[in-house]
Amino acid sequence: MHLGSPALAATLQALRGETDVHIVAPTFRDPWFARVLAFVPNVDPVVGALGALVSVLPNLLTPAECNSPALSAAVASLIGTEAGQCILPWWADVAPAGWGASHVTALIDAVRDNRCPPGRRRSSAPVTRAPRC
Amino acid sequence: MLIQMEDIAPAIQRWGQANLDAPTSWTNHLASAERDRFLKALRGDSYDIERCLPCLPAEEERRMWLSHLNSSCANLAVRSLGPTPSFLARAELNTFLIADIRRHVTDESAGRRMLFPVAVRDLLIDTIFAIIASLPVIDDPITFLQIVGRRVDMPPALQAWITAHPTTQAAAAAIALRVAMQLRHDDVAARCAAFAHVLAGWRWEETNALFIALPDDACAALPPDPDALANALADPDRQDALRQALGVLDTLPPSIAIPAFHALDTLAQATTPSDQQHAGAELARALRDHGDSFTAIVGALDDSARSAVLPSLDDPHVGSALDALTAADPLVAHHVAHVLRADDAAVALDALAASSLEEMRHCWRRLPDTILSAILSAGNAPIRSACARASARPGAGAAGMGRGQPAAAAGAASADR
Repeated sequence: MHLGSPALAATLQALRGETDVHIVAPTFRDPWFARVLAFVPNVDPVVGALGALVSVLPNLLTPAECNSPALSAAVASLIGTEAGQCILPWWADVAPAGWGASHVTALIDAVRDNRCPPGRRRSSAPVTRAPRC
Repeated sequence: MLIQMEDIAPAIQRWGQANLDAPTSWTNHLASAERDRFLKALRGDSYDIERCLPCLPAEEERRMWLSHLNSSCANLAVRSLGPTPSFLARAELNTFLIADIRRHVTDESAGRRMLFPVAVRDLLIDTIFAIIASLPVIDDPITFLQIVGRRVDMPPALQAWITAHPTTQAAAAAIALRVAMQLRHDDVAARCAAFAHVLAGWRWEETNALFIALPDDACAALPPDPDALANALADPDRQDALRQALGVLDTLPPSIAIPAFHALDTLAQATTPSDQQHAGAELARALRDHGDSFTAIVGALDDSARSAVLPSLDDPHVGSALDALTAADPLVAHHVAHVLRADDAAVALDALAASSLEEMRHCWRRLPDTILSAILSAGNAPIRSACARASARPGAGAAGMGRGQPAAAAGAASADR
């Protein structure tokens, strides 16, 4: 039963216009809800982009979105958080060149505190890749 | 028309591998030699798409044929024929589908709008309604329902109903009911919760109008059929009593009555004791604030059904107490009765784990000491450990239930419901 889940509540807040990624962060612990935010019209672009990353759909993001300073800043603010653990592995694929250099201290601290396991990719992605026939 | 050979070839190959026995209807229109050549090409080692193409049917039939593709290959249909709702209704949402959409739709926001219902489609049933109802507007509710409902086409009656009810709440209700009935063999608790949530505030006239518009045999089971339930769940001499008890449900709001009827329908079709018990729990949950109606229904059930909903107990004193509890709170009575009958800590734990914090606290207070001791015994070290942690928290003692408590229940408020 998910009707009372924090992830659903956060998703509904995002659908109502919430733009603070820390308030909607519980959504990013559930890739199925995150995927809704990735596609829903009129959601905050940064929130939608983070949803695409969590739901392992990085190719949904356009180059302009990947290079958005707002998205870069939002991901940086999530370093060391539970949501950040779900986002950073996929952000690494699309982040602007040199993004990590600006946040190296925070990243290393998070790894040392076991709040950002290095190289970890979620094994249970919500959607398996379709086989190439 | 087909865009590129390499796009459609894998789809054809996959279809051929998955349908070894039955040629589709359109192949019957081919000359025998053509059909043989086509099917041999599909299935044989000498697979050759070039030889298949002359035998492919007309475009409209081809669309129907592609709509039966496995969902893992439906993105190929999108790539070849475009993002029609019938293909999107079947396609897996993955990086390939996104790429295939972009072949047809250059506007990024338009492409994402097309895929939004696909993302909603894959949510759990009890959250679909909440998500859809929160949207300020749905651009094309008919297409939205077609995709979320995984339908190749949309019946005219349902299209007309949606057109006549142009609100997101109405669309959400139609979608949730439709999806819930598709998941007929899945979690009865989720289905009943969805019904209760969707129909909150609805009147019977509105509810029945939607039921009539919903497609499929599965949805035909939604309108209550007291006669069928009485025949299935009551002994012959008690069927009139059950009909009478069910008749009272018609006076309750649809958000209460429909989950109760659905739980009974599921109970009638359940094939295992576990499924029966789950259905019984949902009946009790639906009628939690209507103990009299619940008691009347239980009293008319046959032994098998009654045993699932509210098992009888041998001890007359306990049975009398349970009767009072049933009138006050059917759901707690259901859980407690099953625990007492089984006299098993594992059953008690299952019942507690399936309960909300509030229900759990009510059940806990009514369990005998033998069961409580067994739950907290050495064999349940994780429970004891959790209890120790909970009781170590500041203020935990004030919320306690007097007999020790499972960790999850420790934070529950102490006041009765």
